[in-house]
Amino acid sequence: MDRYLSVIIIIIFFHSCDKYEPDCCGTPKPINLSYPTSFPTPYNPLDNPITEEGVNLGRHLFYDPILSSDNTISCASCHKQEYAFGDNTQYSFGVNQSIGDRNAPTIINAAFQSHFDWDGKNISLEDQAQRPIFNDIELHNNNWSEVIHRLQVSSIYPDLFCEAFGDELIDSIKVLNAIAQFERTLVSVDSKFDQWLRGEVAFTESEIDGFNIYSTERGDCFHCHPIGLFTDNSFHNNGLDAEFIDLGRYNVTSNPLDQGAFKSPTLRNIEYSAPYMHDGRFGTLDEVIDFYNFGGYDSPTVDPLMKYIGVGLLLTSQEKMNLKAFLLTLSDESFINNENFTNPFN
Amino acid sequence: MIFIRKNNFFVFLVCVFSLSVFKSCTESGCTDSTAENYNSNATEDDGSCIVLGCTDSSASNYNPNATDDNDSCIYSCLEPEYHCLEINFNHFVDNQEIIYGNNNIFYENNAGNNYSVRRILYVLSDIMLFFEDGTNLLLDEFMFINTDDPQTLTQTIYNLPALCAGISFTFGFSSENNNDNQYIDAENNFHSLMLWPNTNGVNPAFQGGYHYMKLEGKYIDLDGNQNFYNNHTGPTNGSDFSFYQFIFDFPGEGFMGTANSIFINMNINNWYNDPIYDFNIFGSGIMDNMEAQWNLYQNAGDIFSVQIN
Ligand code: HEC
Ligand code: HEC
Repeated sequence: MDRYLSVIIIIIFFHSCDKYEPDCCGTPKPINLSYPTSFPTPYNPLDNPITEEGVNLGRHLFYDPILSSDNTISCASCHKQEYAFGDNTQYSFGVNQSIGDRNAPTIINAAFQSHFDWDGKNISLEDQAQRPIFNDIELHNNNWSEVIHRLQVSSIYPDLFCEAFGDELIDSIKVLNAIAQFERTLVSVDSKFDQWLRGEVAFTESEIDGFNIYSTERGDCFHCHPIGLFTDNSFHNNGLDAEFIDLGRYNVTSNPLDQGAFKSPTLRNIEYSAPYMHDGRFGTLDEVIDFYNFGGYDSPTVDPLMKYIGVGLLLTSQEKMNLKAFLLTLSDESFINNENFTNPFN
Repeated sequence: MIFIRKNNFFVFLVCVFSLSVFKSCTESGCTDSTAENYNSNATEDDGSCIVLGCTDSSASNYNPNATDDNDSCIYSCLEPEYHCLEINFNHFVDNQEIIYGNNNIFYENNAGNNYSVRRILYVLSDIMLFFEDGTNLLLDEFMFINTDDPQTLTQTIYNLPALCAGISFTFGFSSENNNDNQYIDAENNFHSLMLWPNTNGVNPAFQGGYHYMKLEGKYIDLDGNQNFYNNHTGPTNGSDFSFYQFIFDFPGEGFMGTANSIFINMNINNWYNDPIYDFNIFGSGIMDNMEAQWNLYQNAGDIFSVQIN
């Protein structure tokens, strides 16, 4: 009996309440995003709060080819951190070397945005993440059960789901929720421009002139790419073509005024995310600036904010350089080098 | 199994371990039993309670304890307890209802400019309602009207104490209500669509806040070419061009009318009448043009009329 008693004592001694937490049933630790006053309150659905464990799971899923039908492609194959979570090719390869017809956009400050994909067909990151999983030219799965089966039999995912959501059951909602949590943490707020606004660094004369061109009607970039997020969460035909191959926003709304309209992309980290536009037609920022300086092409749906169509901005070559110098102040090295966003399998 | 039967000590060990899993201890969590995430084991409240309910104080079932809105708000127009005012925003050029589109260049203003209207976005603030019993109410919220967004073209104010007999408002924002990032979370993408840039001292015309109006389309210039115009009004040079004092008594039989549904009609041509506004003089963009801002400001007085539905 003595033997039994001492065991009880020993067990109770080592079983202090604070320490005993089976990994799986611990409460995930909430994360609060920090962001400047020029950003709206992040959209954070009640049923999917951001937690450390959820983000960790989402980060693994984002980088893991396990989500593709033949284990070759991950989200990160097309959304690469070094390119601000965009891609450096015009169109990216999916499973079976299939190729898409839109340029992979960046994923920057997505927590603060309301519409995703070039035509805004998804209105939450949770919904958006489902599209590539089944898209033939992306991850090419047929149904959820095959995806979930691969996760269930893997050596790491049952534990990661357990930590993130409190039980080992893997389902589609948890997969999408975890990916969305990771994407919401991809916040970029420390560019030279942000530092200048905070009074920490000075702008050169060239950058100041470029900012003046950008944020006045001299160049008029701010209406569609407003200071703060540098996207207006809205859709415009910026005059790339007189006739459209891709009807863009019209495919979602069926409103004839939306033909050829696309989401204004954020210009944060624009230096890293070439090529540019929904079809990746421009390889360099100089080409983009030349396009806007030319003024764009007229069409029935071109946005009146492109008000120099037919005339052009008439920027001198010095002014074009200044505008570019300003755009380069939107680069945030701490974003593309942030170790919290890197491939967790490396 | 045989092994366990033979070894009572092992069975005992297993029991103690499994018991310890259920062992209770001080736990922090939400201790409010009406909350979504009520934790009956929690002994200390950690401020994490989520109470779902209606968080809009203008609704009849407003729940001051609610932390998160669950779309349950009830907006009531049920007389005699509550009244409503539905406002429909319409836009005309003189008597014609506008057909929006760049290339519908079939309107003409007093300066003889032919023009089209692609869109109008604007703000009404300091909205005050006058009731038939002589009382009034200043609304907390401004109204944002955007012809690209049909849901903004009909707006209803609920749970009013009496029937409305009149309305007054400011066109745009007065200076004290027009600060940088002030309406960052306003609905219908207001902030992104209407912000007036803050150039951090680089350009005095752009000191932050919000546009009052964005009125856009095409006009035909003196050479017969199509050009875009962007009639954007706002706090140029930090000045206050907001136009106060639209006061309307609802028309009615005898002294005063009452209504629970009205039209507020804007006649675009009245922006250009007196003094005459000529697109050829002011050009495409006017955000830093004090003279153009002042011209439109002087024209604003008769752009609106109110009709009972
Ligand atoms: C084969 C390349 C490819 C893969 C793999 C891929 N994407 Fe994409 N992604 C794209 C393209 C192309 C678009 C634009 C699609 C459109 O506009 O219709 C896009 C759009 C997005 C957007 C919208 C960004 C914005 O601001 O509008 C997000 C977010 C995103 N992808 C996340 C993911 C996630 C999460 C995964 C993995 C589950 C993934 N992507 C896999 C190419 C890819
Ligand atoms: C009428 C709204 C509008 C205006 C004004 C505007 N843009 Fe854009 N911008 C867009 C849209 C929409 C796109 C995406 C178009 C597409 O891909 O079809 C875009 C794309 C871009 C891109 C490519 C982004 C990427 O990730 O591919 C850059 C760079 C850019 N704009 C810079 C500017 C600059 C600089 C100015 C001012 C000279 C400007 N924009 C003015 C709406 C606008």
